[in-house]
Amino acid sequence: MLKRVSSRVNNEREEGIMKRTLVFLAGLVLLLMPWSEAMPYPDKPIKAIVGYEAGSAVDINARIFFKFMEKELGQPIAVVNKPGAAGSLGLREVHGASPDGYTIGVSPSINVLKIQGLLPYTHHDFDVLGVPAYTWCLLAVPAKSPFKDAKELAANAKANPGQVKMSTTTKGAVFWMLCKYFERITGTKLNVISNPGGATYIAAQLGGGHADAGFASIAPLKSQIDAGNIRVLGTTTEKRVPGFDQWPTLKESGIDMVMNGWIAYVAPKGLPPEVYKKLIAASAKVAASKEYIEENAKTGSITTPECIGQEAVKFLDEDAAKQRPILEELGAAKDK
Amino acid sequence: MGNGMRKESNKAELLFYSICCAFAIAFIRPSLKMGLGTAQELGPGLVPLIAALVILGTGIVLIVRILLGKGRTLQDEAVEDLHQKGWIRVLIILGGLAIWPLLSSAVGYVIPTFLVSFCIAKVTGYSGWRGPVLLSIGVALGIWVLFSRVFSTDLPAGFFF
Amino acid sequence: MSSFEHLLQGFLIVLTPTNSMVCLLGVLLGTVVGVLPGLGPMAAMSIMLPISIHYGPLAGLILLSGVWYGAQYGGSTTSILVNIPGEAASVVTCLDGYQMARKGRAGAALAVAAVGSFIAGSIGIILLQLFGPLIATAALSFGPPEFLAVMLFAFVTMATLSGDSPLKGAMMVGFGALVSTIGIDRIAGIPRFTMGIPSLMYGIDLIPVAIGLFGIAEVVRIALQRYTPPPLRPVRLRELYPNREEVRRSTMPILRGSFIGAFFGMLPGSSAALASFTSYSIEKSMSPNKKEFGKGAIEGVAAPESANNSAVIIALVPLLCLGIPFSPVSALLLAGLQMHNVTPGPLLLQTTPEIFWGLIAAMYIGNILLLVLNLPLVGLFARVATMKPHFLMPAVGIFCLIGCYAIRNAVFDVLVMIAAGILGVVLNRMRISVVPILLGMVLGSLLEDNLRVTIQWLNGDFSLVWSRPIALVILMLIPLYLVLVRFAQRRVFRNDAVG
Repeated sequence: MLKRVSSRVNNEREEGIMKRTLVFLAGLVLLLMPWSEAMPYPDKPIKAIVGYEAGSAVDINARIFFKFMEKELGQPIAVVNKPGAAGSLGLREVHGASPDGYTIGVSPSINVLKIQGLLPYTHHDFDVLGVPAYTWCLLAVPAKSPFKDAKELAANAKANPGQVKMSTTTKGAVFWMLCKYFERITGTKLNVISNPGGATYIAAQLGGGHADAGFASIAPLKSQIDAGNIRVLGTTTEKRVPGFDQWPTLKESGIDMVMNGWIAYVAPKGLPPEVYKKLIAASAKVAASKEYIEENAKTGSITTPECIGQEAVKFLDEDAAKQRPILEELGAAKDK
Repeated sequence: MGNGMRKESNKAELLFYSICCAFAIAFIRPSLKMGLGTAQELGPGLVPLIAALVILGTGIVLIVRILLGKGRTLQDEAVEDLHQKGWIRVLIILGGLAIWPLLSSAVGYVIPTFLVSFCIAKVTGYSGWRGPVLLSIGVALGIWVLFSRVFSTDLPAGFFF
Repeated sequence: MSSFEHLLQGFLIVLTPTNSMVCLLGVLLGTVVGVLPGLGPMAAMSIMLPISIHYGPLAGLILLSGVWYGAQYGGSTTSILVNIPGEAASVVTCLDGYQMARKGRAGAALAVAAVGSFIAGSIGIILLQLFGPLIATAALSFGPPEFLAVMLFAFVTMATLSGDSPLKGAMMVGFGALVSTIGIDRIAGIPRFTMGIPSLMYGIDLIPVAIGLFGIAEVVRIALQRYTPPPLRPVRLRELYPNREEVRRSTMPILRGSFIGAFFGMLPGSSAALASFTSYSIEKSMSPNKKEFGKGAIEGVAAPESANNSAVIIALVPLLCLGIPFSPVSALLLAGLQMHNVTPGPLLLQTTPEIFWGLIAAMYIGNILLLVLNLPLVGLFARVATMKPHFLMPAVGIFCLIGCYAIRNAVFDVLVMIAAGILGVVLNRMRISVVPILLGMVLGSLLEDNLRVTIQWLNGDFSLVWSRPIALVILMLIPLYLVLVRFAQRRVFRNDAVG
């Protein structure tokens, strides 16, 4: 009998502690809850869904863009990372979100995901805000490599089909596309080594001399280039890159190859006209701003301030047309 | 452990191994379809196929061993027989957890979390009603503060927030 | 300027109010994150990323890396107390740590984990300081064949984890490997076994599976047993900490674990998890107390907890000295540095040496802070183990639930956790060990990736292997290791027979 009384007393004491904790928590919650009233767009924080891991190339570029967009729009943009399936899972969520301007998405390959069978939508199923910048790529070799320019590499590849080891990333990704595009343009066959994940392996394999060549953007390779372990044969741009003009373009070396990695910013389709206009205006302003251009140059990107809104849609159509034959040739086209 | 229990546990094992084998078999055809690749380039189907065959092989051997009566030795700890109350408890916990995703996408984070916490509390022996209710509210709110505000987790939005 | 003078300069830089505060904040946050199941250092670091930019390159790096190695301390806490691995690297700690807690030795396990982490961390920092560039050159000389050789070696060591029945163990390993292939193929880029369900394209992540197999199954087990409260005698201070025997047995495992972890740290991929698994396996195979492993052997806590700490410290070597991030966490650190125009790599020591030395000094301090933080908490945490289940389990259950969700903000991970929980309950009833499943998942994907890359690299020309001395040496270690294990076991047998 005594035991039961004491256990009841204990229970009551526990409940007392719990009640006090609850009151404290309730107060904390009330303090931290989002309070809002209706105001012109945007009147609350915007959610940006990035379908890639934090710290990845896409994520870094996106965060730079959002940093400037925040200032233009006057509301914080919260980045949420939902990695998986080449960014397509994040895009699915963006597509399903309500088109009120409070959800934006990012993608470096939105125009070809349907072709690859990863997403049942193309960029036409979203409201495209713009493609404000592209990341230029370069062809690199280990420092000890005998090749002095891209032409020599191509010649060697032609003479030794399947021997030249090209380090690259997952099939279907931009850097892999570059290798295949190179094969097509030069009419050669390389030993393309697809590594899982990002450009880390490219840097390691070139820096350590385990592969003969590779395509990548400058960001993952910069440390090894500066240290002298990796040498650049050329860039995949139309003209020499300002600030890096010691490197010839592949075009100059006789290989007419211009293909770069871009990042598109999209929103769910059906934005109200004022919201759409505001977002487009902000994107255009950011893309043209000096600070944005400078920050992009640091990460190896060049801005394209004219590629906003409808211009961006056109660009995406053209780019998809370029990529389609390569994807079909390699059996990666699943939308037939 | 008597012979009757031995047969029970053998039946359970047979069932389990059969399910494993069936699971493995289900993966074989898609693996072959994806392609095993060549000596220069292994296809996406090769490793899954090997894994499936390992499961299948070991499963068959284990099944045969039970059928032949060779079986295993006695267990060192007797496995308590699950009386009905036990099954209900298991179902409540697992079922509660399973319902959480469904409910939370519909009504948000707070209510399903409260319910799951309450179920677990009751099932692990919390007597009465006030205690479990208070505890569950506390747990739900505390975790909201921690994950949603400190870690910026995107918790499902619902009636409250 | 000698190395010592550089280090002194580093300390001077770090002992400023900003840098000290940032160091403390980082390790504190890291410990919290490590204790929470599911949520990993990655999530906390991404949140800190914008804040770290505010402070400047060195402070930002101190903050972010503090979260990372701090999390390795906290991860063992939930493993030991409630059998829930905080992250992949803490999985093996559950095996013996939780059993020790059930025997009332939770405090000892936690203390050994904390001290082991400290010693291993210190060894890691010393190695980084003295041999950083050398280790980096070694890491760079590892190509596809070398990585494959290392994975094969690791695979062989883990044969000892298969539990009592090698057949059942093999089946579970196969199951884990098979499950790890579901999702998007990392090399070919196509979906595998997704059956048209988009969520499956996420792939099955290791942590929800581990939490389900260990944690949820444990919640169920506790719900099934008739709860007997532990004897309510006051817990003596002496019982909270390891006794002399336990300390003696932990010393060599900690040292061995530190160096094994350091080796794996310089490899790409989930090095901390691989390090802790391998360290546990090697310790178990070579130990005279082999039979105790899985039932509460202190070595089973000391070795993996040390390995994962030194692995994380050495994982900074490729980042700082090569400028190449070998894991997603390193990539985040790299991003943080690049946003300040600092390019880590071989030139770091020449252009901005203060970053390198400042970080090393900060890590020494952070390591000590973590020990000072965690040791006194041992008593507090050990008392949690004695809390009544009906209080603890609901909180634990919800932490697991939301923790899993928070990994990728995906409901799918929660579903995986539940499915794994059901499987864990079933396997527990059948007395089949769940560890091989996790082994299959970790090693399965690593082996597959490295195998496929190496085969592409060879391109049919298998004679190329002979031109890779490092790979050959590692492969020769495999039979050597097996002989050593045999030798160690014969000694055990003889000892058993005699005494």
